[in-house]
Amino acid sequence: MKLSVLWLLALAFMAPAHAQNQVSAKARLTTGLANLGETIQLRIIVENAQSARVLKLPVIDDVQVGQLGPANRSSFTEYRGGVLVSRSSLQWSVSLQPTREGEFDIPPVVVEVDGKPQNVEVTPSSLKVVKDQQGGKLGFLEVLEIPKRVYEGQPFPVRLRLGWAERLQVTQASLALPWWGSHSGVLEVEGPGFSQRGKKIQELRVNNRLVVAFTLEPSIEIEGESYRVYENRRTLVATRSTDLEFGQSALKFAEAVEGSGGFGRRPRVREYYATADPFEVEVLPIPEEGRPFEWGGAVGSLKAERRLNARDVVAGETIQLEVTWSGMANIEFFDVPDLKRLDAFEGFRILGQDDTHLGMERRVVYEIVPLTSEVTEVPAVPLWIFNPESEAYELLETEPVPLRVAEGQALDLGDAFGEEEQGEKIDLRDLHDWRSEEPVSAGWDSKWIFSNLLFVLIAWWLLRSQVRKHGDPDSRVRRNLRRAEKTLRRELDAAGDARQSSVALCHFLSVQTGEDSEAWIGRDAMKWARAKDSETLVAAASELKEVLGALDGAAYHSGAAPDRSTILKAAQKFAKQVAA
Amino acid sequence: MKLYKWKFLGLLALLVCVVMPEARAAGTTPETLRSFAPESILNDVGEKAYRAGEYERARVTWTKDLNFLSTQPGNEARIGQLCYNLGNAAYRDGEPMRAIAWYTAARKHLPRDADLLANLKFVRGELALPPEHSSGILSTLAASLRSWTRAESKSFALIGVLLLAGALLYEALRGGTRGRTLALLGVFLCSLLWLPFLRHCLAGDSSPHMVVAARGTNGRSEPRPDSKTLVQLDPTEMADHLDTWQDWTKLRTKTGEEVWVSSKKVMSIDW
Repeated sequence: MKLSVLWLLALAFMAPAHAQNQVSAKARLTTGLANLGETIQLRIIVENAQSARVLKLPVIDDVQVGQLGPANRSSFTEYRGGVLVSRSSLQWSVSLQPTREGEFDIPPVVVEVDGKPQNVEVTPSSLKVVKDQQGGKLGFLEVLEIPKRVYEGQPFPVRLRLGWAERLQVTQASLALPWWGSHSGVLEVEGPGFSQRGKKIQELRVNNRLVVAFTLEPSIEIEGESYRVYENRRTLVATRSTDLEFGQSALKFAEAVEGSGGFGRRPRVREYYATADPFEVEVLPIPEEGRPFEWGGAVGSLKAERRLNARDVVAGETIQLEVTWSGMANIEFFDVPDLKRLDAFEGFRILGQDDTHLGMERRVVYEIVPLTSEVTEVPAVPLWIFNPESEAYELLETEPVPLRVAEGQALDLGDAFGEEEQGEKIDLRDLHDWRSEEPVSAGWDSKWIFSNLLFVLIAWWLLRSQVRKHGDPDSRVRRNLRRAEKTLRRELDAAGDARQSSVALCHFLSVQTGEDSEAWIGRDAMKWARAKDSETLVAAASELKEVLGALDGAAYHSGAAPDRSTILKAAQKFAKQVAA
Repeated sequence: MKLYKWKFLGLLALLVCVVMPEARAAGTTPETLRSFAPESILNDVGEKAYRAGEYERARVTWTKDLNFLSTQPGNEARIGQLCYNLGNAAYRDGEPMRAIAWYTAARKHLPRDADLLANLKFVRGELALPPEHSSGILSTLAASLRSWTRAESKSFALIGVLLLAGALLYEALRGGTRGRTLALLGVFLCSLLWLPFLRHCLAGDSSPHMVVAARGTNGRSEPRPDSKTLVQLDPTEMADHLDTWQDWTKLRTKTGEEVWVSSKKVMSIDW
């Protein structure tokens, strides 16, 4: 009985059975009916799979399929009828952007689930795209001033104009421009005359990734409806011949619905879509027929101006010729004339050029030097351009500038500012007479120099070690010893009588022997020397004894004091023996 | 007594440094040069060709003269002048990149020659090449080290040794703070004076080549035109010569890569 109860309790508390739901995959669109310009989401969901990945997204003509985002994973566990049930799901989202009206069949998505690929049908299986009639009335989007065809390198404007009825309380607006930045071989350049100065700027999101500034223009009225207008102008240059396709563009704008959004809720909005028709621009190649050799790639319509910083100069003086080309042309991309290669500039030395561009203006400052007084003008600077309007190559020339060049040597900047400016001279310096050059020694042998260094270091080490065996040369005793003789000479010079000379000598002797100065007053030097047991020292001490005795006699009796040299000689001799 | 003996030995060491016979190579005097030089040197064929506008002939003649001079000791300055003249001839002959290479070769022997520096700067300016040196401290220091010939740098090194010897002698005999300070000062000055000499020693046996192609050249993995390009060598870039195979030259770049380049696009600047 007891055993049965225990079994029942064990069963009751035992972990419940773990159940897993079936694996499934599905794909669905957020809507089957959309306005042109609207973005539709395709959601792919795989449930209860260990692993899954999207192998292939649907490919639909005239529908831009966005990038597949990262998978969103979710899982939860619940008790269902006493069974623990786990659920998990993986979800991907892809945006679809139709670029025209019509009905589009959506092919299946290929998804790999637990290692097995399978086609997942999309529901609904078709997408109907219609123009938003109401949006077309309440708003507009136009692409203006687009030429039908241009030449390679020819800049052309793209003017975007959009707006919506002023009576609408528009809270958000954005643009879907499938062609924006998608053309290969097309560059955007600084265009002419588009000024934002003094105008109100409205920033709009383009293609959900860029923010572009639009200027607020004066309102317009169409069929009794007043519209708020925004504009943006860009200038593009196609760098190769092709057909540039500009797909359907769409403006999405939304107004808040009245009475919504209370108590912190996001207000409901009503969205409108206005569209602009697609168009094409044909890019033609630059004709080779009639192309001059000097043509440097300039395409467009240009005018040229020139300016000279001085017109009355001395031969050899540097002047600046500023040439400006401006107009609707590929300003940044053509080669400016190289004056060095122009016969007309034979009378000049061309030192260099400074090339800058700003907007639709190219400015080159040439530094030129008239070489002789025969130069009477700065010749015209030619530039070959291809004019797309006339479809022909044209020569654009600046006006020549009269110039007066006086004979004489211009100021040599090299002399004025030192060697740094020497290179500014306009020709090579002449040959050197190398044969008369005096021979120059090849110098000392490198190995010998190295061995010298080594020798010095070793000698220093040996000398240092030897010197320090006798103690620190910088100690007080050693310093006093080195100074003792000089001090004795000074004190003897300063001594007024024999007594002071005696004191000076005793001081010298005390330094040499390491004793007190008083110890040498009245001391018998001979006896002291004999105690040291050195014959040479005894000999030196006998001389010293005589000098000391004579000094004492002169100081305390009436004898004659020895002279300075005798004292010094005896002291030096004694000190030498003591040191030895 | 012993102290005096060591002082004497120290002074003797200094004297040995100064008085020891110098190991100098005997230079060839102008008179000696005339006595055994080839005909082209005696008759000044190169200069005559240059003055007549025959720059190619001038280059050929001077190159032969240069080969002759490089076999004779003590002709460093003459080699420098000849390289300078070859630079002028190359420029006049329409090869400014080779002119730069010749001027660079000449600068090794005439590092402060005003004409040479002016012509080098002039030709670089004509080709719109960037400045040879930047204005940084290290670049200025490197340029100042390059501004001495090998012989001058050896003299500086020797002066450095003498200064060091004096300072160390004082330190050994006197010791103390003053002695140590003087020794450190001696070491510092000696190191400074040794820098140009060490630069020449480190340059050693390397045989520098310069890229003389206006657009630079490709450094390839093997000596054939279809081999892989490892690096792009810029115009006037210098690299050490390693080997030669037919029309190809193997170089070691500044970054250490060993590459093959077409021999037509590089030139030796080691004279």
